[in-house]
Amino acid sequence: MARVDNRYSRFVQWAKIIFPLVALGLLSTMFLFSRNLDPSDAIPFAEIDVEKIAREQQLTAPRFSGTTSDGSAIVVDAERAVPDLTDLRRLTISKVVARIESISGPSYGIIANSAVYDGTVNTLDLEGDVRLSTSTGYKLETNKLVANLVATEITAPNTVTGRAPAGVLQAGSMALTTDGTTQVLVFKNGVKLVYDPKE
Amino acid sequence: QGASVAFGGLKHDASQPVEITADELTVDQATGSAVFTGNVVAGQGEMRLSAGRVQVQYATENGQATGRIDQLVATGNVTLVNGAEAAEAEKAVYSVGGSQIVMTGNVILTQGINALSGEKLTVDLTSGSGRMEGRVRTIFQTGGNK
Repeated sequence: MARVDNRYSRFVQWAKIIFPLVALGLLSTMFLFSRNLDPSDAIPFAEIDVEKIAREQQLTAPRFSGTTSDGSAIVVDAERAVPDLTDLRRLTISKVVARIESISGPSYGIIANSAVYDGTVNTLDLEGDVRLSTSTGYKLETNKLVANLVATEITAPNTVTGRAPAGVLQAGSMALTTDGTTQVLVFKNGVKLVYDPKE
Repeated sequence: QGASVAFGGLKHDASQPVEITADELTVDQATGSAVFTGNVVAGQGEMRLSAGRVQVQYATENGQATGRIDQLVATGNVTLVNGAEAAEAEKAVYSVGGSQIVMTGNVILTQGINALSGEKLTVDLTSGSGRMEGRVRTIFQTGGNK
């Protein structure tokens, strides 16, 4: 290789040696310093008690729907349903939302903490902070409500408090029955309605 | 002929809440009409209207029944008590908005010891005045100087 005297050419000569070496070094780090793989967190799996689920037959987020004798549609949604071991047609369901929509009349929404669905007599006994709201403007609360899923019939044996279209309402018991085509809401054993004209 | 009477001189405030208590309440979900039955007592301020059956009629705005009560139609030995006066009749229509009560059907109005009877009694609660019409008969107790 001819002798060179000026600085630039010497610099180029050295660069021709150093640069490839540096490139080689960079390239090799791709393989030498790989991340250490942790075999244990390969697949994240849910921590549900598998034995409990296997032992207890359980439906999660069940939905029942059907129509009653006068044609109104009933849809019952819940968070969990556990069949009663003694009688398989009885289901204990929790966090219940039931909707009854009749063709001509108003629609009803019922929310309750828990309920027992009985397939043989086709009733739904709702308990625990039951709230009934009707599209005609009634918002009622009681602690027990029995909904008959064959005929559109709702009965609340205990005291019912809440709001009626006219004002605050309180009654000893309540029943929704269908006589003929019209649905009649009857409040019994002591009713008190407070209407405030200023409202 | 008719006679006008003072009725419950104290001013009646029509904006006070109306409280209706009864044994039973039946609501027809189609029409929304509410009927109280079984010794119904409707009270507002001093005034008490008791009857066997009271039907609530809601005010309708362009055909839609609103939540406001327009009239209470009371039937079945209706008695109205307001302060010292009491009136009995077969039927009474109490229009809550206009604070006026119209009682019909052999009305008997007793004020203290005086009694007045007729066919129709119209009471305006805010002005505290009443008007009795139809075969008005009055009975004055004249005693008192024995």
